[in-house]
Amino acid sequence: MALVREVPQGLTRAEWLLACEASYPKVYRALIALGASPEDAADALQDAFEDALGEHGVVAKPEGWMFVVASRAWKRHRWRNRIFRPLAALRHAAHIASRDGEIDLLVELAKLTERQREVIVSRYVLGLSQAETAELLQIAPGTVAATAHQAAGLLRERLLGGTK
Amino acid sequence: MIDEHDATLQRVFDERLLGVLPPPRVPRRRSASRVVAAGLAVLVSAGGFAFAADVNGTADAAGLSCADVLAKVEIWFESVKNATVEQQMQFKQKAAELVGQTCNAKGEKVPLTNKPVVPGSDPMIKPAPQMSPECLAAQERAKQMAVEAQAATRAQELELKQRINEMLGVPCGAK
Repeated sequence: MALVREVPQGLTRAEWLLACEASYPKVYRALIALGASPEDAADALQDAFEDALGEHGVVAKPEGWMFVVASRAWKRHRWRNRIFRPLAALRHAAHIASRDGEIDLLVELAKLTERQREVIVSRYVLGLSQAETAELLQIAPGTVAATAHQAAGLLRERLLGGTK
Repeated sequence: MIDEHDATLQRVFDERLLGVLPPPRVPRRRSASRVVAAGLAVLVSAGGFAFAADVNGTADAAGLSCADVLAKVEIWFESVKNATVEQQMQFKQKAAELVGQTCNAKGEKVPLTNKPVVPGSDPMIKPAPQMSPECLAAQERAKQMAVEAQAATRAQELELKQRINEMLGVPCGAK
């Protein structure tokens, strides 16, 4: 995330907050795709918004920044949710069970490794480029390319029967 | 580096995640776990202060002859202060029994009720200690200090208790 902050865009505070607000639906979907329940995704996003109020709007991609901050918040609280809300995952499953296509996609995403999921979500849900994903996740662009290629192949095979 | 992007997969993502609608953004809800954690923290703090108040009250009623018992209770409390609420309640009950069995309202040590008393033998009752003026003055000062430290933190409270014990130790001859 440090690399992203080195690309100032000269956003005013109001523009920055507006951009964060606009990224809300996209980042929410990204968190759901990562495996968060709707409640956890909303909570993690709220954490990210609180952090956004203290930022100065010098990141290249507000949605990327929001995604990283919110996903970190979600991961931090995951262990606590497992203890205090052990049935949350079941409720989450019941919530999405009515939408076949969506659940198929989320189930297949859940089978990927965490790194693969992060890369795929950054690329296909947030719409970031390979370079932006690499900056955001602080990994080499080559690693992003290889991970995305491998994960996309697996998803294609499982969701579309291997067609491209 | 070629920025490979699968358009078909992108369409799958767009179509299938279309139904994921975010809830309206509202201030953070108070989750059950946060409420439970906050409630537990309040209970433990309140229990700790209530226990300290009980011990202090018992000490006042029992007088200085029970200072050593209270010191033991304090050390004992240190070992269970991070335990569960149930363990603390159990400890509180035991401590209250211990203090109650050892000291009566006049500040005299009395034998434990479960100790067998041999008929004809001298009971293990010590005469009430004669308090010197210095001891009485020190006791008054200690009470005043305790009143002034109503809003003290747990650490300050423990420190104060230690100071009071030291202060009372010499003039009152407590062990």
